[in-house]
Amino acid sequence: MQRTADRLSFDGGDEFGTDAAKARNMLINGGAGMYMGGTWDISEFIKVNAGNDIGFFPIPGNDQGEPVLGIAPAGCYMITEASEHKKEAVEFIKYLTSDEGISILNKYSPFVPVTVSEDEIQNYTPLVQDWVKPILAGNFYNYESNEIFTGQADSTFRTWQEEFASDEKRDVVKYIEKLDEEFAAIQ
Amino acid sequence: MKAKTRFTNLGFLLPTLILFCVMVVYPFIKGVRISFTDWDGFSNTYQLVGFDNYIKLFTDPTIIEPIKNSLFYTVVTVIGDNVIGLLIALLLKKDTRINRVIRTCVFMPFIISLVLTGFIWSYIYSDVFYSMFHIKSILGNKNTVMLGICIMAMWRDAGYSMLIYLAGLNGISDTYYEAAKIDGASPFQRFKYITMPLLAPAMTINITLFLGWGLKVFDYAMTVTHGGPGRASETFALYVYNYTFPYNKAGYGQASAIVMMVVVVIITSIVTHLLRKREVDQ
Repeated sequence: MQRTADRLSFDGGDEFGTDAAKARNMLINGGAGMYMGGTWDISEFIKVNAGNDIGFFPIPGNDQGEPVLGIAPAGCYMITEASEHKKEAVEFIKYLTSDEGISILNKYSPFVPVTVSEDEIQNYTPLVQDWVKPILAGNFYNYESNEIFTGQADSTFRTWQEEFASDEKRDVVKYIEKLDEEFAAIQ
Repeated sequence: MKAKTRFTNLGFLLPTLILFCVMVVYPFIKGVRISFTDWDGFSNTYQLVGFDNYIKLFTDPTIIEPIKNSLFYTVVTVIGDNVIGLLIALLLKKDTRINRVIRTCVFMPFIISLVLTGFIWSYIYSDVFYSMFHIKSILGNKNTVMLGICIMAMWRDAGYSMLIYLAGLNGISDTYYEAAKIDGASPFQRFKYITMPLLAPAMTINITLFLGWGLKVFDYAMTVTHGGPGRASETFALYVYNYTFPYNKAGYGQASAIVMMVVVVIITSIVTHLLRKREVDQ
């Protein structure tokens, strides 16, 4: 945390005053040289026809300092217990996870496709290709392979991160105690 | 005849009464019941937990910041909207063409929704102020974010306050001012001893309204800053929303909402009572 606090001392003073949409526009229009984002940004860049103009690279992610892409499953399919058509829902999910279903999702969904070949990705925009290449080369890790926070714990942790980042003093000990207190208070 | 009049009156009141009962009374009664449970907001079953939710509310350390933010917003906007509204009303009291045009311009922001107001000012803070004055967005700094929200609220609501004060000023007879002038009263003395006391009913309306709105503020925090940075702009209403929906703790959220409602009623009742005492009949 102290290392993070030291790095955050380079902030500009209003990091929370610039939202993601404005940050992407700044990158597209040359107002910013670099932007740190995720797969959720890809469809936004493609929507404004900037998919050919924006490149992507993963940042160093292992002890050797090599670029490694952190990815996680986009979600999962679930059927509620109260569903009146459980069998039909199961059949539909089987279709979604079939080869045909996956190829449709790869083509039309906003998610980065991970089940494509080197030949198939030539048809995608350069931005999507930049994302897929590290995956095809095996330079990735699942950042949700360890336990992660969900629900209120996730929200509490993210809020705490923002408070820490926006506090100019960033007293590490005080903030760790604060986090412990807030987690203990989770209902 | 009397009974017929009563039935006619009831007939006109009935649709609104039904709507009120369905949209307000019934959800409120149900909400009170849910506040004593551990309902998550979507399950078919839940357990009664007695007063646990209420006890937890008063021991939650994360509730301090939302209360402070709501109180800050309330104090600033009540004072700001009333002072600005009164000043503008005094300046534009004369019924001239130019004054009518300016009054319309001042009132126009009030017809914009709170959400749109938030978006407009968010853009002004982050782009316009930066390109013109090189001032970074005050919504991005935890020390200035609530002030930024107060400014956008006052920009929107000052026109409404002006309208109430204009009505109050127009209701004060000129004979009082003429008599005071003859007695040698200065403009400040006329304002202090005639305008202010006779404007008390308008002040009661404005202060009570803005007090209620301020304590319940939600839209700006939700749409502009989502309570951030951190909890720097999280208001009590947003706290209630977070527990009721994203955190899936509807029982606790309901308990918070009821406590908030009680606090708002108590504060506004006390303030209204105190303000009513100083009203002067013409």
